[in-house]
Amino acid sequence: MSRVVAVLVSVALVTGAFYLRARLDNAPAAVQPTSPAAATERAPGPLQGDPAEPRLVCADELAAACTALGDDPEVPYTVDLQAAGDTVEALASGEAPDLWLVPAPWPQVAALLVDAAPPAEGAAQPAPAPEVSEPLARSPLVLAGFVERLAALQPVCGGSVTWSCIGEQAGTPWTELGMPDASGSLRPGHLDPTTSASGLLVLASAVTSHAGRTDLNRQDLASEEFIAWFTNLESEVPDFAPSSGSQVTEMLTRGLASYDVIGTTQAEATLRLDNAPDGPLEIQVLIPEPVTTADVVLVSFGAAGGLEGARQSLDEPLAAALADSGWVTDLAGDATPLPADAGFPDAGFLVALQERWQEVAR
Amino acid sequence: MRRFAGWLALVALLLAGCVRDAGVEQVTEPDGDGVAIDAGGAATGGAGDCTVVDVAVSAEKIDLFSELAEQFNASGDAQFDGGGCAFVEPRSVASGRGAALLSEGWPEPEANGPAPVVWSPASSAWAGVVNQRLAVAGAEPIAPEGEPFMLSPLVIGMPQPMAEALGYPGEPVGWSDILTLARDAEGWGTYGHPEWGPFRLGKTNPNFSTSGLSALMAQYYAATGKTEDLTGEDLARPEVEDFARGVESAVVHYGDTTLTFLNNLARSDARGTALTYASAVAVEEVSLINYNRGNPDGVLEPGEELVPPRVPLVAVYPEEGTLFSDNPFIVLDAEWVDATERAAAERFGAFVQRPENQLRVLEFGFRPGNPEVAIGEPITPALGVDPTQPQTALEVPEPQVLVDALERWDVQRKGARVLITMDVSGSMGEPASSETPDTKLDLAKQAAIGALEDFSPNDEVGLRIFSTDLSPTEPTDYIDLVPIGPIAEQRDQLAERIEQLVPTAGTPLYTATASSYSDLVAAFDPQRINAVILLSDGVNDDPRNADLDGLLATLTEGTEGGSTTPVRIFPIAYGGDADLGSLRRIAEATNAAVYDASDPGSIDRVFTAVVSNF
Repeated sequence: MSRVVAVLVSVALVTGAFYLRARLDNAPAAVQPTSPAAATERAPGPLQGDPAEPRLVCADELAAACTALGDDPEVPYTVDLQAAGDTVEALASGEAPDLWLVPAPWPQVAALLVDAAPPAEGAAQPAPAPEVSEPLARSPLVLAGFVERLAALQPVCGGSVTWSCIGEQAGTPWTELGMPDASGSLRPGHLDPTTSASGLLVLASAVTSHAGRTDLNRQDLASEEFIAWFTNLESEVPDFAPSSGSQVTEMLTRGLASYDVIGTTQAEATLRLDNAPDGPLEIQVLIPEPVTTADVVLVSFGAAGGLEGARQSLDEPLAAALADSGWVTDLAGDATPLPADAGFPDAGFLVALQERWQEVAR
Repeated sequence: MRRFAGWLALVALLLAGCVRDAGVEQVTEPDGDGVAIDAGGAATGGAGDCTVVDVAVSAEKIDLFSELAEQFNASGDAQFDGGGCAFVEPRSVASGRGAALLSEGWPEPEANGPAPVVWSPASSAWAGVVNQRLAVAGAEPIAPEGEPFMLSPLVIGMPQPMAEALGYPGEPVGWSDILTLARDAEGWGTYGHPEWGPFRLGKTNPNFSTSGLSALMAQYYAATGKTEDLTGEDLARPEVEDFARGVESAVVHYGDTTLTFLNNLARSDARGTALTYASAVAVEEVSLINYNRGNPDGVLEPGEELVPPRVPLVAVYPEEGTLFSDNPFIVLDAEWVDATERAAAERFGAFVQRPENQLRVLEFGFRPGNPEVAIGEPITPALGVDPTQPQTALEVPEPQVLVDALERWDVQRKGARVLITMDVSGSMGEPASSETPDTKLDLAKQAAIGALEDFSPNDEVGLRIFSTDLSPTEPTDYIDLVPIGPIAEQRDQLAERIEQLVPTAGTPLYTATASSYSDLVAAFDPQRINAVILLSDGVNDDPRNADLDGLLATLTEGTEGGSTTPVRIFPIAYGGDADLGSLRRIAEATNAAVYDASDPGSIDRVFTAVVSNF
């Protein structure tokens, strides 16, 4: 019940924000993939089809599912991949897609960021009211790390590896973490939280892990203790984007030179690792406490027939594509018990977290 | 400023607005089989009516790409669904040259080859170089991020006994250890091996070679203790400059390709003197694998037998971190690429990423870019490498930092003491070709004068000419027109004297070589690279001295051993009548390299390549 209320509230929030802003238009625009992930995770050939078709933009994290959708002749949409941050920029400049498939709470984050952005030139048309679905699929956020390094961290972290502990130990030489023959120091990884949907969720998960609660606000980001922990974590996260677009792929192809442990969705980790044969280094995936999840939602920006109409044609192939790419779609089932909600602070905090990250990491 | 138009020096020049020559050539055949510039890939049959996809790839992977292209062209993957087909044509284009040409819109396709649809340089950093230059010119970027096709980390290759003397693999080794060794007057004596002499480092010229540039960046990172965000301010710190100078002081000589070092090392190994030629060489991991396989130049000629070295190299993955060559597959966003070519290129891009083709990548000694193919043979300890290494990656710095680094390298690198010994025999007065009124000497003079700009202001350079009975007094067969001295003070004088050269009589090649060598040994400067550039267009025709074996024995004796005064002779075999075989043996006897300028028109590029050794 509480989840239903939460979804309704979030829909209302987003709808209100976009109505208040009232400066978006829904002019179709051909958008090419703009991020390395989008550029590299696509199947050969463009996803986009008939420019007259309504357009579905997918966050990069959903590349595998959306590639399948794009290849499905029954799907009446042109499917494009785009980093979530780039979609927010497009929204702010008055270029809304018909549909947006993205992990929550990015629609709420987008609404706040668009509200805060200067008015787009020439965007005289009022924005179509966005409608946000309930979660269609979920995936826990996980840690993926090299087995020996996670094993070395475990006792240091009091028995289980968490983001809070990773933040404390980041930069510590491995020789001091029980690996006398290893070189380098603990190097964690997450994607850019201002552009990557999962990057923001992973960072929020890390902060939640450190704080031990989700009712966080902007003041929590200003405490000396938090800044010290956050700065230590971020000073060790490489600030260059993975050339392959996927940190898991980087770990598989560049080994220990890439990262020791990264945060991502279980769906992505499973998809990548299941296709990788055994190599000289083994990667382990674990779900850290507290459990947080990436919940995929569909957003309609005035799509013909509204969200309901879009879902009539999309729900079935979308569910199949998401399930095939490792996302949990049987949300009422017991096969993969997940917490009742995603486990993140509110969107306002996430926007503040993006700002703090830019101050610390850039 | 040096004229080298190497891959990032190019950027420096571009940013500084003083480009002389946007092209850069990589001499890929140091053994004298010709200056391989834009050598075409393997023939793959006719394109017919298919859409041709021109692919420019860096030299080290042309064989692999040609093989894959041939398979692709013959496969169903090359057939379009609605009719038509794709035909991939790879060409070898050195990364720096490719970057230069792309930055200029790929001019003169008749000379430079067709403008490519796909570009695969050694490192994705090149894409940033091109886009940076275009941005400076106010143009849109054309080189998007490409998917890594295969990977190879930069390593410090060391003869196994030397690495073990440092405690490797039990103890981590890095650039700091290299610096310590370079500064140690006792050399290997400190490690109980005085017979190995001083520490000697083989490192290529970063203006020409990707591995040379990667090594330079790795040095700077090591000096700063950073793994990313290297800045121009970092490079200017006194302790960083000191570190750089220290490492450079151990360099044997530079050069445009690591193959020179590996070929010399292989020859030294065959003579049992590998440990006194170079103590370490900065190379890509794949090159080290090839060396240990017995294929130091990475090219297996028909009938060539693999003879593994007696003393193998081991890959030291610097503890401070290293850089990867990631070989991106870039479909260019250039105006000359149409939609059909793009679609065809993407088909080939998907083809090369397939697991079965990535297995070929692995067989060639590269690490696959597709994670669906695990690292395995030949990346194994048995061939001196460790698949679980490296453990720290270094970020490719911003283009402006690369530019700063190269400019600083120009003054921090080891100085050179060079005698240019030029043949002015009568045959140099013959026409260079039927298409030009210029004589061979005319072209050589132009090239030599141009090459003077390539030397660092700190170098010392002199000019000697030789021909029979050139002088009425002893020595009669050669004259020092300009004694060796600081080039900054006598560059104009050198150019003037070169300009005045005229062809005379015979070719006392051995006498001129022996005298040049012995004079440099007598005045050996241990703080510099001591070398002779020997240009000759003919065979030794001096009946008074026809003893090549005696000359070679002298050169070899002076080159081997731990306490030598190594003087390198870099011969240029000029014109079709040059005695390439003898010149090669002279080069090999001094652990240097011969350069083939059998086409007189190539002499300018060859001179540039030769001076890249200093």
